[in-house]
Amino acid sequence: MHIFLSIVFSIFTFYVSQAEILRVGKGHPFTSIQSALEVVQNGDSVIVSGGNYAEGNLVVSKSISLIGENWPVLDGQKKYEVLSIKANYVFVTGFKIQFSGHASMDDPGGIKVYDSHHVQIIGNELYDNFFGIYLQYSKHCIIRENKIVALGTEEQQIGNGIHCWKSDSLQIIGNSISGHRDGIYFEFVTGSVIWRNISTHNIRYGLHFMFSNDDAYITNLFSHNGAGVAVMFTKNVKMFNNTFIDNWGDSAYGLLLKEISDSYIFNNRIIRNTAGIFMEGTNRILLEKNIFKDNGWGMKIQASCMDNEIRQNNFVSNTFDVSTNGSLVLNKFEHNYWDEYEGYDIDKNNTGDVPYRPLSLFSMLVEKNPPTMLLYRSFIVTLLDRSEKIIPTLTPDNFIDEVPSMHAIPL
Amino acid sequence: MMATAVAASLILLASCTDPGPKRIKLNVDSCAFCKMTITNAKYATQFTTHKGRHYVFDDIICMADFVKENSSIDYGHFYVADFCKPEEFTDVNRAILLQDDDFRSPMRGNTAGFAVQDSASHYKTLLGANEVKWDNLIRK
Repeated sequence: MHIFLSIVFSIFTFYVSQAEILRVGKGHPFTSIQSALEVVQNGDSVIVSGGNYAEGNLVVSKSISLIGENWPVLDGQKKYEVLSIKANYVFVTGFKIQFSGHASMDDPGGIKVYDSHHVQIIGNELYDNFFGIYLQYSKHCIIRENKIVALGTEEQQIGNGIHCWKSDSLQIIGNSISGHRDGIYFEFVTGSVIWRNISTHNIRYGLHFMFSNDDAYITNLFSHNGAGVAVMFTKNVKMFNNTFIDNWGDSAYGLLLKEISDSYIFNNRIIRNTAGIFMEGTNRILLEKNIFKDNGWGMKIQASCMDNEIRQNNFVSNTFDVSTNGSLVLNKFEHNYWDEYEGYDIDKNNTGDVPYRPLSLFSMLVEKNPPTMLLYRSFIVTLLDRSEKIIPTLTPDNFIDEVPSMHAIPL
Repeated sequence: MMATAVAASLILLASCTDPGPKRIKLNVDSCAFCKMTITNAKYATQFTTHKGRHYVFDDIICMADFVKENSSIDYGHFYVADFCKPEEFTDVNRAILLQDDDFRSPMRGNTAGFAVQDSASHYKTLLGANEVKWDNLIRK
């Protein structure tokens, strides 16, 4: 038994001793990362000490751990893609990666993952790169707790913070992204989760989905982005517990839904946006228990939307709760709380006894002719709205919450 | 008196001519079809109406889809940005349009416009791109 154990142990140590640790930096065997990457074998670790490493494009082509100690800086000098990962099971942590090449056809990035699986990029800082972290044809990768900052301005081309293309089963967790084109960008990405990220002050969208089915984004904060968040040409997306806040502008939305179907939007906070949710070509969505507060428009539902269910949401102090551009209404409103509801509840069942029509005549007028906004809160507009509420003539008469909640839903 | 009348009629005439392409404000203007903010000038397109209004798009495929869906607009001229000089627009029928997956345009039209033959030929051989025609893009 004893002999058997020692044999097992020696085999084990044999395999363990196979994995080497290569140290890079002043006073270490390797002075450049490049020289270490040339001799490294699968399973090895490369530990890089603090310092400045401007070595052009570094390519990782073995399954290794690349670990930075005291924040070594990898500098692309605005000419190169900084770190290219072309192997499976690569782990990268502790680096400051900056100044990648800019605006060329091949989309250079701070860290770019090519056709690989089980790559983990955890706890790095990326500064002023064209693209931050870029994944293509990759699976089962984890991008966690990276800080990604760019200095994108208007009138200048810039890439995305975390850009994922034709990938599957990704976990994007706890990153913070600012100053890029889109904070997080998904195109043809499936089965992935985006959790607890903070995406602010990006030029276009905090998060952008295109042609990406079966994904979830949960508990993220999107604020002060050029145009909010966009989910487009996608189906089966779960959006839970996110905050969409402070996205102001002519074409800015808390959340832009275009050509999306069969999705579930639950327990989000949509606050202080020009339009909280803008829906176009959106079908079979359940919107439940969200808060719409202090928006210009709570929801803008275009006539191309069908079979959506909007229930148990709180609509509080929006200029307009809901607006639409058409007369055909094929969406259902139920059990929402509308702070402008003036009905009563004689049977005390917490549900208003008269239906609520969230669509005001004035919002229809503004939709057709935006400058009429000048007349907002004028006597004549109030009069119009009142008379329309009693006898609907111009607003679609089935645009209605038959069972409005008397009290704000506790969320 | 005569001069004023002539001037007035000139102004009237001028207001009816095509205004030509407008400068696109990158990261500010949004696409009239897909609503996305235009962030890459290289793939931008636009058309004018006879009344002098501009519609801008982030991708030629958006302009094509817009045209397919809206038949009642008084279309004027269609323009596409020059891939090599994105601030300059060329009439879409005069431009050389190349289509290839390596042109990663925002809405996957993957089509770039070129004002001159030289640069078009360069990219055509570099990427093995296909030449396409606007008329084919808007065919239903």
